[in-house]
Amino acid sequence: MNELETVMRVLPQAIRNALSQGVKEAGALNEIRLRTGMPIYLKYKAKEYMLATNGLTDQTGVSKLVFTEGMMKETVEYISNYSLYALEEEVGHGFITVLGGHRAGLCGRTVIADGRVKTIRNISSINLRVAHEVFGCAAKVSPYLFSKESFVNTLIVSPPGAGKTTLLRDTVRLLSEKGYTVGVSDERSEIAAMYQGIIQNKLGTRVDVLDGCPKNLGIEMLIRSMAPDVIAVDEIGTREDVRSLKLAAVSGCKVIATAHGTGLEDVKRNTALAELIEQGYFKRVVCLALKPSPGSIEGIYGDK
Amino acid sequence: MGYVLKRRRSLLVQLTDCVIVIKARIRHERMPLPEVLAEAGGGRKGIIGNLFASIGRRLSEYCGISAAEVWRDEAEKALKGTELTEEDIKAFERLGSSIGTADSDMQEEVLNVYLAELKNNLEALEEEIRQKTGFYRMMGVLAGIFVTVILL
Repeated sequence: MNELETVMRVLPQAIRNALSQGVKEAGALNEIRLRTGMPIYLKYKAKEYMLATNGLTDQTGVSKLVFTEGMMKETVEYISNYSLYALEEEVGHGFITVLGGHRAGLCGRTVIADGRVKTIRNISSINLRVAHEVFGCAAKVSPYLFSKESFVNTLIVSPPGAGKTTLLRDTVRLLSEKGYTVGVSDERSEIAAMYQGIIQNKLGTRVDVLDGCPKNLGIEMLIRSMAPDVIAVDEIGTREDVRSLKLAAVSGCKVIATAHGTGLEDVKRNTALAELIEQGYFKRVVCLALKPSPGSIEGIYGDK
Repeated sequence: MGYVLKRRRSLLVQLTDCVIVIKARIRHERMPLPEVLAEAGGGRKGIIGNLFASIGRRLSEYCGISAAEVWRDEAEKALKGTELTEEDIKAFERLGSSIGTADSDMQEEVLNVYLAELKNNLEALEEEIRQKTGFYRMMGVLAGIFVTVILL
């Protein structure tokens, strides 16, 4: 089943038909935005389109497909595998991971219990982000990630959509192939895309994933329970994350992590991360940019 | 007449048993609905077991049809022509329109409402069977006395 087929199986039939006519390159489809009573927007080939009954359009005046209330109910059924009750924890975090590793972000009426979002009812918007794997994208940075043939702590920095999670995922695969045992603390199910206990993305054979667990707790649990050589974690930034990363260092684990930012100076504005960088915790900082194309390397910093 | 009532009772009891299993699996294990239905139906023979198993199977195929439609479609195929009444079938179809799309609290409530409805129907049916069985037994005794008198 390819990327487009796994996306289409969570959509109502009318949208499946229109998508199959308009989207010819599954790898170029980034996201589908579904809002009750509104046209359907897609990001395809780095451009925004609307879905028409017979394909895509970026023109006004063309008959667009409107996402009805019935379609929303159906889509919620499909993304939850007809089992919304079984996904309360995920819904409470605002998203559901579906088969293929795609992530459905949700908006609607929140139900609060004990000071936290228990679930979301009357779902009104879904942002379906299509998961892509870019095999081999870590090859261009991998020569910089080792010192005396040992992996060194690495931070990948990029703005949203520039490919930091994609690079992290491929680096995990690369490390696994090189014989490292990698523990992945995957709070938002974006690295491994675990679905019903099965890792959807190809991460290699030496990878253990703690799915849906808060990052800092996940790092500590992995250290205690799985004895990883390297810990991989996405989007760090809090004091708790930093505390857990320091624990990893004293436990003999290496770390590969990502952080939001437009560059090294930008990420240093986060005081928790600045402290780690100033102390030389990360031996390499890989900065990615959106232009000329997502995944472009802006710079690799550290002592080579 | 007695056969029809007893057969309906048997089908309602089977429905009750399956829904109790479904409720337990949802409440305690949070199992996905297609698996729950396949399990609830798979271990049982007969119309009701097959009905749940086939709904579960179709839902797991992601056929692009809503759960309510699959549920209604399979219910019509399996239950029409059985001893269940129109109201019994409609109540079952109503369950299908509200299962799977609610959070755990609401889901349990939906199943409780349906189980309460099944219980009420079964109690009313038992009473009807009791009354009719008594009536037919009395008719049988009277017929026996009548035949005896004629023979004498």
